[in-house]
Amino acid sequence: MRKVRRPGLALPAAALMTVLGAAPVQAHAFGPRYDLPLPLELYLVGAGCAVALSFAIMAVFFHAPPARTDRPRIDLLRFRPVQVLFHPAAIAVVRSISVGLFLLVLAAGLFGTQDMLKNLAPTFVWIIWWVGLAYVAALGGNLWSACNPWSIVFAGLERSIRKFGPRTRLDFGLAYPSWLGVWPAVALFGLFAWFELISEAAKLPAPLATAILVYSGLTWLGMIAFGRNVWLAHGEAFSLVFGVLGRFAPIGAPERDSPDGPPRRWHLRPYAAGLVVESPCRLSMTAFVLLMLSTVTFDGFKETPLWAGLLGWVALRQWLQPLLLGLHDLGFDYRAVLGTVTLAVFPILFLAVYLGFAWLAKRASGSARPLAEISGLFVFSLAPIAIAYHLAHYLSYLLLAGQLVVPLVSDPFGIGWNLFRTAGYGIDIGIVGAEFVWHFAVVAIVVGHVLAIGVAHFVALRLFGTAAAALRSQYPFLVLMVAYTMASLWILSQPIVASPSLIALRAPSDTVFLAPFEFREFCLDLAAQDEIRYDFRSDQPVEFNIHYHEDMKIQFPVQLSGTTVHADKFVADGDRLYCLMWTNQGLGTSSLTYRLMRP
Amino acid sequence: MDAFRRTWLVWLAAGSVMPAALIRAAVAQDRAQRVIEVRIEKRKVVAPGPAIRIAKGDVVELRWTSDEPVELHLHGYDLTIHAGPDKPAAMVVKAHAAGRFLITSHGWGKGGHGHDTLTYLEVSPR
Repeated sequence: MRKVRRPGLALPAAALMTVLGAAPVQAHAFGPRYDLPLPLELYLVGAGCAVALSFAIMAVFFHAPPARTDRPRIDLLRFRPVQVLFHPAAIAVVRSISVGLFLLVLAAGLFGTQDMLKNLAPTFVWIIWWVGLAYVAALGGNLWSACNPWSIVFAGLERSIRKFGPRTRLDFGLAYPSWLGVWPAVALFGLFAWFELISEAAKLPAPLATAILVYSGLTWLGMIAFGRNVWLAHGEAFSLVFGVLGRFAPIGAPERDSPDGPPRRWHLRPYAAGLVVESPCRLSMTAFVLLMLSTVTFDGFKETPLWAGLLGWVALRQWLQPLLLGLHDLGFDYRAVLGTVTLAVFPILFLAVYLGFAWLAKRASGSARPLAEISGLFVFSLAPIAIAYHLAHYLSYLLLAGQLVVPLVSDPFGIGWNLFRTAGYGIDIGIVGAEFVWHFAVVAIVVGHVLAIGVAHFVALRLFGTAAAALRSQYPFLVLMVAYTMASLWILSQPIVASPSLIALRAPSDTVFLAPFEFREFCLDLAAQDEIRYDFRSDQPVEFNIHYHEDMKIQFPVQLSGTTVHADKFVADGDRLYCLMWTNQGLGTSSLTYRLMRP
Repeated sequence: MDAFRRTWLVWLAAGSVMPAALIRAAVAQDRAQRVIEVRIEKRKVVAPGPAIRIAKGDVVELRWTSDEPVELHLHGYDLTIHAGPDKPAAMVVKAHAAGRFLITSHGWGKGGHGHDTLTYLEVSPR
């Protein structure tokens, strides 16, 4: 099948699309996922605990006087072994490993085999770095701030350039516009989420490495324009992501006098204590946090049977067929398009719902404070629910698919090396029991829910002063949190399924089977006055058409509906690509036999 | 009297343990011999249903019949067999790990189709 591509059709992500759009479509997630859905009884136990504990916390703690949230805390720097971590040699080792791995992943992606499971790049980026580092950041501390290769490389260049004179700078030191907030990071993280969750190319080594190069370029440009630390705080999406996760973590960020100075204090604190913010965050940061939460939820939602059913329902709508057909023949998979639209709608929906509940909280408490302040203070309180869900959703994936890295470290390029004698390692699927994963999931979800309520409780007491007003403000948020927790539990209770497939036909005659909403097509190039003969029979009524694209319009020289047997000839009226297409209109699986002959 | 009571207790214990052990052995026997017939028609699994459900520790034989030649792959356990109309094929699964494992088909007929999800093997924990 020839894919027709028109240069005039540009999406916002056009730069990425041209690199990535040509990838073959596969219905599989990257790496193995063998999770059993959460059984009903555990789902109910989790849901029940979440609701009961919500009321228990409301009843008991909201009558207590405001307490300091950053206590108890311990300064880790009091311990001599900990100080070793900040020794210049230790820092140099961490930085070298990080930059070394960064270069290795790029090299493997660009020059190694393009088999995604035999190349280090996809496994390292998606399982070890993205999922694994999120676990470290949420459960331990924000390791990314210490090993961000973009920051390390730029800082290294800054240091080396300073030798030429104390005033030589690598950046232009432009004043970062205040109104821009963290919107650059919001935009970049949105693109990243699309790349991760929708684009099939994310799993392919070379496109992945190319995307990393593009992002590296953007990051360094941002650093050159505004300075390294300014860009890390406003534009480097992953510093913000791991920063939010790190707020949840028990190990806080080291406190320093200057951004690059020696650490003064480094606190160990209770989980989620860092989410209780002193001052409201800006709308762009609120949007960023909600974008994170919505992509985490969408990630799970897109693997549920409900999503697969929704895709099927859309494919069956008669009035959408011309649009879907058009997209399909332009080289876009309608599932990817629908996923993209949903991915774009999810954060907007999250933001609207959240702002709605923040408004309700303002009304309920009778506070005169502006909505922007209230929404900017409470947004972090939702993070524990998303983090708990994320940890639950990815536990067995991390432990099973993470094993892929064992053979890959011996053969990162997939060219037959065996550096550490681990190249022959096969995945042990019994490494973690399903029951352990289930119980971990339910405990994580319930604990996350309780921590979320706790964070909101502390913020409310600090904001509203009186326990009564704080309590009233919490009813709307409690409803929101229970709903969000239930949604997370519901996704975990769903079996992970691939979305329905849509396959182009390649043989000029064949018998194929179409599920109720499926459509298949066979495309061929014809010159004007070329004649073809075709016939088909189906045991379910099908819609049949012969169509072609003329600029943005689709022309249907032949269109039949509710047909089961048909034979005819067709004469092309121009030199172009024609597609014969069958859509199953019946309620059962259709067995379709078709033949195509050129005289 | 004491000796009698002791003997009686031993017999009681043996009497209650033995049948339990026998039943357990019989169940284990039953488990070891379990065969599940899986039928593919029109490139879809029509029996036993949307998923094949077994329990961890089971040793089952999946006996595949298909109305056209196909290569079947059980992910996770990583087993591959070929089945066809005149060639029923058996896949012996020693379910040592729980999980939900995808079974895909490769190379249907002559249409050149790639991976298709056929069904899942669901191994529940005991």
